[in-house]
Amino acid sequence: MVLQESISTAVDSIRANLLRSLLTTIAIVIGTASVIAMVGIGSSAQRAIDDSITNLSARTLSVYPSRGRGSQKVSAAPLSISDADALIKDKEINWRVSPEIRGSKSLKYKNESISISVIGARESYLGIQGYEIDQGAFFTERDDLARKRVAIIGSSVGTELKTSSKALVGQDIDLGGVTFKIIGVTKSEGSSGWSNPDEQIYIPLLTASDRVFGRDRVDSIRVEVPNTYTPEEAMISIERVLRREHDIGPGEENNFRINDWSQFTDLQKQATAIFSALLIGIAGISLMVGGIGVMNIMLVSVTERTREIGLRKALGATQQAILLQFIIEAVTLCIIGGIIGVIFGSSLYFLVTVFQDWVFTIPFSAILGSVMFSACVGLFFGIWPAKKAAQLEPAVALRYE
Amino acid sequence: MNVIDVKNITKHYLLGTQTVEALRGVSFGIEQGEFLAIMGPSGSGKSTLMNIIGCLDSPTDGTYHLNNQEVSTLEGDELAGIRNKEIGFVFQNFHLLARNSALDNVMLPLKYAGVDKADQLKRGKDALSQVGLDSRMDHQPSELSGGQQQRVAIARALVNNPSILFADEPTGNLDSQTGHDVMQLFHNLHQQGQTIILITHENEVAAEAQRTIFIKDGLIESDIRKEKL
Repeated sequence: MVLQESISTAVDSIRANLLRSLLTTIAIVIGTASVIAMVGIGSSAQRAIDDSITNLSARTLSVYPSRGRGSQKVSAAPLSISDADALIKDKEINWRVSPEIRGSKSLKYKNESISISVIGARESYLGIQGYEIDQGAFFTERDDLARKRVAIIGSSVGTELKTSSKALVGQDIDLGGVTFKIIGVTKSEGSSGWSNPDEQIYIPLLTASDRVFGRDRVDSIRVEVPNTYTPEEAMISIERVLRREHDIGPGEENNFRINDWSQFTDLQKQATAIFSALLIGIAGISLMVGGIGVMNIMLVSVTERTREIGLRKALGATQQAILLQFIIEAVTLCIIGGIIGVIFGSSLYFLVTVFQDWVFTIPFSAILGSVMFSACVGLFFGIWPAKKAAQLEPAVALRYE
Repeated sequence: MNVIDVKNITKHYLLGTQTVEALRGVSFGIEQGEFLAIMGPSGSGKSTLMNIIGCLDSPTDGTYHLNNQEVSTLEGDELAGIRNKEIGFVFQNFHLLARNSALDNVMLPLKYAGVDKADQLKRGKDALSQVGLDSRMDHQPSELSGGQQQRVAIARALVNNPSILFADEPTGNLDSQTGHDVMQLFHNLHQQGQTIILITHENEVAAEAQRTIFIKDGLIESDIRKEKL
């Protein structure tokens, strides 16, 4: 009964001073809006990163020869094709293994000559990298074993040679003095930051080893680990095989290193989380400032309505009833601010998702949480003015001018 | 039987470092159904006495029995309860809530009494028709004349069936005709057996009452009963 009356009185009094009330809640609006926007944007960004990881459906670990890090004398042993074969042959590891030989060679076609990054790889390379073939086909295991001089080019190599990649399929080119036949073109992938698959040329590993680079030392071995294994488990298995191959005794350091590229996305996730936390912190400060604003306006309201309070007390309002009325007014003010903030924040977040092409999902708990938090701010900062109102002497308050 | 029994009431205020003796020992009784006026110049202690009898304040010393209940020792919310049940206030400047209808204003004491909604509406409407405002229930104070506003205030004072109707300069803000109408309303209520205490400084208004108590310098100067006609 009293509660209902208090709520309607609160709404009345807020409506009576609409402009003042809305201005008071601006900080609450900003605070709640930032919380909603940040939680939304944060979760969408997280989801986008997660999607890009699960798109690979597996983690890729890369093994590199160690460069011998000063402390101990670790002889920089190269990785070889036989290391990769040992990994493939190991019974415990039945994952896809892709050794790579890389190098830069000049590519000549007709009168054009460019320098190009050459990758000698196994047939499995395409799948591990997640690349797709646009024209023609990738080379096969037989092409590799036969050391055939066939090549697949990235989608923009054609343009560099003043023709189209499509037109190059079936053509002979000169790669570092060796004639290759182009049998396929990959789909455009876009630059990954440190290399651009669209500007590379792919040839069979053994062809690269025997005919182009003349070495069986590989630059890296990629191992695709299904998500059912943790990267640590996979690393231990790979380590075990390679330590045996490299004759590394107990207590000696590895002369190779294993990288987990998904660590980068973990870092990215962390950065996003820190950024979100920072902004939520700012939002928290904004809510506090908003709360002080609400407290200020409630104090003004109590003074303005001293005679009303006196009258209510004369008519039998208890201290609790007056306390409740003013606390409810402060809480209502903050909840209104919170709701406006949720609307603003969601709109902002929606715009970002449109521009970033993300999924729009505001967790209901975030909406509920931020409105509830606003209400708590109102409660906390409303108590003092409400107490002041409740403790007014009726006889004095009635005659207040 | 006395509705009000006041014995040796004193009230001291601390004004800065000085103690002000607003009441210096006041004793009187008011019978059920009396129509009493309390008069006195400003600074006489009249307002202080009214605050104490109206349970808006407690005396420094002395006893105050309202309906045989000792109320001088009560404080805060207990006094609020007494005000809600036993006393109906009518003020000089009406003191209506500006954004509430006449009916809502009248129901306010019932809300604080915890009366259920249906009862509130019924009793609120009854009180308004008692003061002749049946047709103005949904009007806000700004849509009512001064006399009508004061009648809403009287309806609000009556709605809890109080032991005492307390009117503080009820005609002070009204022209003489409306003032006269309001006084007539008090007479009607008095005839129905309502105990009424009128606080005023106008002799003309006080003359309407059966009995007049004059306060001066915190003491009762005179207590005069009119001869019954």
